[in-house]
Amino acid sequence: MSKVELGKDRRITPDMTVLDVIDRYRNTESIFRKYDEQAGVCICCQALFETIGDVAAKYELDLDHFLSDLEDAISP
Amino acid sequence: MKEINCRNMACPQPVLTTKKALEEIEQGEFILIVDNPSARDNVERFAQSQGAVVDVEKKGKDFFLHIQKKGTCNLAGSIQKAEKVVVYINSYLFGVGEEALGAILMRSFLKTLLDLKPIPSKLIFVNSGVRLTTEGSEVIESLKAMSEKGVEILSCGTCLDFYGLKEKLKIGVISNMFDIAQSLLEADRLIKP
Repeated sequence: MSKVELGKDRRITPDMTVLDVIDRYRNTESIFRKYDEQAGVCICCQALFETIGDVAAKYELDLDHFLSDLEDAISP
Repeated sequence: MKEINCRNMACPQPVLTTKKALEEIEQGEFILIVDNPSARDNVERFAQSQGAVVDVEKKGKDFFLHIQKKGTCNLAGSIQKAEKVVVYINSYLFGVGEEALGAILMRSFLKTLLDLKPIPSKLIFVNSGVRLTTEGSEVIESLKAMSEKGVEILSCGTCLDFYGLKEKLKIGVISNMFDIAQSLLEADRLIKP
């Protein structure tokens, strides 16, 4: 069985979909656009229903940085 | 019929607009217009995941998505808000005891659910319950029949990942703890076999 890292006190966790995150936290949309270049695709267009974890794995993004950037975008 | 113009909107705005439009109506229909295939696919997929019927027509370079949200009628024919019955399945076995018996009972339970009223609004599969919605499950046909009746079928993404079944989902959608927790809280009745 695969080992799964669960989010600790984060509001945004790897198992949330891109759509979930943007719907709840509109400020994160710019973060996803920022990662489009690294991913090589428009994440919001091509991976809207995929989880953050899957997007990171599929497009070889650093998951921790990705999550941190998303969290920073919604921090007061 | 109401038309919503989502031309020149970058993803995911068309989907968010669709979400808002669906939330504003109990039942009804509208036409949402987009101008690119990604938006068309995403809106169609989202609307269908919410139980709406979607027809797509191409006109020139635009896509017209006719989205119909179904309501619920009682026997007298008037529209009533459907009671949200959520079935929470946290194991592929029904009851505690012998595995073979538990599997038989779960098959029987899901088949019986099809014939009873009220029909659940959602089935949520977590932990080893995700074995029922993935390749090799013996209840896929029962679940398909429920899905065709408008029942939403959610499988926990973390659980699918844990069991190495993410690529083997056969019915329903991959969900997350936020949606699962929200569904449980919003349920009028929660059934846990």
